Amino acid sequence: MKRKYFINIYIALFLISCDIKNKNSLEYDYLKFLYDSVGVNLDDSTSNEFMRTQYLKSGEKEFLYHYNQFKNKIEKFDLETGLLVKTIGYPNDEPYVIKLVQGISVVNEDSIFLYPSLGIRGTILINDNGELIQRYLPDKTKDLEASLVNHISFGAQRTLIFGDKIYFIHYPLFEMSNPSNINSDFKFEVIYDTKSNKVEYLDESSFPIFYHNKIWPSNHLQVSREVNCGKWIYSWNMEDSILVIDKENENSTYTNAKSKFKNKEFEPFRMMPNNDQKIQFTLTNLKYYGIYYDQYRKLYYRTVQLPGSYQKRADAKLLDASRDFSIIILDDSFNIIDEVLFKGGIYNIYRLFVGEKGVYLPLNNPNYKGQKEDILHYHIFNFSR
Amino acid sequence: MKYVLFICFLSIYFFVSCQSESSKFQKYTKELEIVFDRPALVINLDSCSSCYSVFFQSVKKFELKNYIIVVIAKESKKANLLSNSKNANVFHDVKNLAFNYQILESLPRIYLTDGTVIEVISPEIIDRFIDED
Repeated sequence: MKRKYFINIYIALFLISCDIKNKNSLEYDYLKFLYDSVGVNLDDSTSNEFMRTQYLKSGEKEFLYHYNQFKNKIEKFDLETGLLVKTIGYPNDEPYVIKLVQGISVVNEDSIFLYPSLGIRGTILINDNGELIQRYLPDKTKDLEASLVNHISFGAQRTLIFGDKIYFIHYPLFEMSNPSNINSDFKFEVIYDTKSNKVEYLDESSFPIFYHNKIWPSNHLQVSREVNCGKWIYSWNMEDSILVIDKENENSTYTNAKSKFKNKEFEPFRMMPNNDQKIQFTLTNLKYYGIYYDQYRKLYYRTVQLPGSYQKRADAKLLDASRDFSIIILDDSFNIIDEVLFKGGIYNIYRLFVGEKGVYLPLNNPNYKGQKEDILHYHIFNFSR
Repeated sequence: MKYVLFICFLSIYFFVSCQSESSKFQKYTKELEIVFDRPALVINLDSCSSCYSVFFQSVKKFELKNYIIVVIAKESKKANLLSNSKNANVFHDVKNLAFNYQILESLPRIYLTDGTVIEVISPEIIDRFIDED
């Protein structure tokens, strides 16, 4: 009996010490990669949210484009100085009106796409002076619901243009908590061919198989996509691996990109969850978020939100923003090189973009006290040093 | 008899829930030092990223009627872009006190002095309210 008692105490002490070690091992190492910073100047009609942005390298210059909903215009910032270069209007009278701009894509200084919310029909292409180059009107469908395209078009789900085709990530309008909807029918990648004026879907872009027929909260069913050299890379919120579709060689593989901070598997709900249970799941489970390619260092970055805390009557948005996060760094063959841990409550993980100097993270996290209304600071991290 | 009891129960339930919505809003307006004597529109620009673009025109009409407007936004600049706080009927909730009183989910609401709460799911609801009033 005494021996059994002793073994139990030993196991308990061992588990406690492991737990303490795990907690202690969470060392924030992001500051050693901090390389530079820039402050973007904001005028009286520009909020520091900077949600709908797009990076562009043009010649020797780098620009950050920002769709400003308060002005109904696009602002073009010099990324070196943070100064506003110009404000670009766009045709906004009938028949060109876009009631709600969902996002923008900037191919070059004279090719800026603006996408309407909930659809592709009405997308316009303008030049640097805001003059209309083209308006896109894919065929109308009789079924209103079928004509809706709930695309995101910013951040880690930005819309891309290759050749004559525009690639959107869109989300279903059906109830995502219903397990019978979680199958391979819905394709997340919508392709609009501007030449043929047809819309098609990418077959491989459906829910991962382990999601199928299970109950998950919709906030953990998002996908981020990056494209590089004919490879389409998908990062799902709950998938340790990333899906790499090689269009040229016509094959697709899952390759490991698991976070070292993941210590429990995702468990689906057994019964339909209420709203609080969904929020609790999202906040207390690790979440893979965005996938980004760094053309200057030939690296991929996968962002990961670490499990956070949940309080029933607290603001879920603030709890989410307080979560620590990490960036997994992968080489261009998708081998993990490193994973860097960031402290939560400072940077806004949803607004990350990559530039020539490195990874730009804005200091506009909702919990960050140092925010100012006339300037938005970005910290730039170089992970190749 | 059963139906009468059921209807009584429902009426009491709605009366109590309306009372509680109304009393929460009364406390909220008190904390923001608002005299709640007219219809009040509450809109949160931080939790609804498209609310500015969608509701801007309707909010302006509401403002012209001299009704109360409460704009929830962490940035006072952003709140001013929708409705300027120099207007005596416009109030800004930059600390999101509305969350503590559960005044809104993400979409705007119109609170009336008789305890009625109108969920604003589209700008037409504001327009119709102004027309009918």
